[in-house]
Amino acid sequence: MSWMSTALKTALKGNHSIGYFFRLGTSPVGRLWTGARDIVAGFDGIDPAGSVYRGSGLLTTLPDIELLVNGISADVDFRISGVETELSELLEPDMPDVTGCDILIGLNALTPRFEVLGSILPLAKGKANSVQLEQPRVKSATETPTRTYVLNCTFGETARSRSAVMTYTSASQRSISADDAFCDRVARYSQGNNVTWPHF
Amino acid sequence: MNALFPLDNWAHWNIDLLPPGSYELDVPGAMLESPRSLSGRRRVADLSGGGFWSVAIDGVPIQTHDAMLAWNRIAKVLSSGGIVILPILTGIMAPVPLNRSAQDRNLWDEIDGIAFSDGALFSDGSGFVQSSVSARLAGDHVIGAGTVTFDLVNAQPLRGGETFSLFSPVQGFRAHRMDDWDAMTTIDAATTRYTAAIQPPLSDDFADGSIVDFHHPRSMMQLAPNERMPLAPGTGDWWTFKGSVKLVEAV
Repeated sequence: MSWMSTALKTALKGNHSIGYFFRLGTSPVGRLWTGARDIVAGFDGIDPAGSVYRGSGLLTTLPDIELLVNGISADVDFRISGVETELSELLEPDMPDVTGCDILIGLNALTPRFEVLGSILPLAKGKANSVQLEQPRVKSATETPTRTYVLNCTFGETARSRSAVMTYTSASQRSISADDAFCDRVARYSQGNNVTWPHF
Repeated sequence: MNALFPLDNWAHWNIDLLPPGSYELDVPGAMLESPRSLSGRRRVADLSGGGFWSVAIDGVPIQTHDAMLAWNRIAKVLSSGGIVILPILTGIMAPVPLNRSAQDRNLWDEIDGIAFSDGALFSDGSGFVQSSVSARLAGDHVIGAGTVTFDLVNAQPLRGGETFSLFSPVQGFRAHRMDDWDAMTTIDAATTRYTAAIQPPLSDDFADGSIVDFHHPRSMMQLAPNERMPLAPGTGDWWTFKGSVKLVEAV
């Protein structure tokens, strides 16, 4: 049993249909995905039987998600736009308390019949911070005003928006193990270094 | 998807009053190109998740008061975020009844003059009309299903690519186009059971026996984003004009 199912691996090798799933652990649970229509899907261990994920083209962007690497991870904004009255009525007077709620992002391939292949493959887990509302002023009568809800959240082990900066130095390593030279060269290493392709 | 019913701002697109000069039907995908290999070969990933109907209607002759009024009424409904129930004009490729050849097909293969249950007709002597081909879902179908099974009565074999609509009390009329069928079973002399892949997938749960309408498929449509539906008669054209509008399925 590997992390990714064989069926999903096979599907992703060729031309495929794919969906990204977004689950916000508020009460009631918010479920959205990137497709046009509603679909029944589930995460293993959370809702293995599947729940209805809302499509409607509501989720407008899926931001780049940076996972906790080297003690750094970024805050990201999820946006839903073109919000209909129904959802807006639900959100505005009685905005669910999102702070600290779990956010799960996953992907799944769809069969040519737009049915999900097993359970959703979880990609990232984050914590929600806050919700903002954006409605930029339109400049002329022919433009359509767009209302956007922005959900700010953070990924990685860092709760809320303050990131835990970790230093990894020779001194700290030697305080754990006095004769360990493993981190002696850490200061020379830099993140984001381009390794030159070798020429022979 | 939003529950569309009860509808409070809606209209029918009367196809006799507003017949399009040309008509473009599509369920477009949303293809992203994957990274290209050095040989230039590429793959695509589709993000549409089933997609939705997109219809472009062009060259509707608006020449009478009736047409002008109908156009203006639909424009009022659509420009205020309402919904129009639009016929999906695929009658030309609907299933052919058993008693006709494909060459001899007639768009109006209908049984008319159907009376009320007490035998009465309408006051002008006409009755109800229905297609001579009928179909119903066989078995319950759940939301998001991309495969349907239905019993088709009094029709020659399907060939793939047919379009039908289903009616849901929550989502309204939803059109689906069919792939080639997977399985075909003869139930009796007039009835055949088909299993086929469809696009888009089902928008609601449908019970056994729901009517599958190949004859007059319809769809709930709204105005495409940033699209308008103006009434634009020219005095030089004797107050006539050709209307055009782009609609998308209300999902």
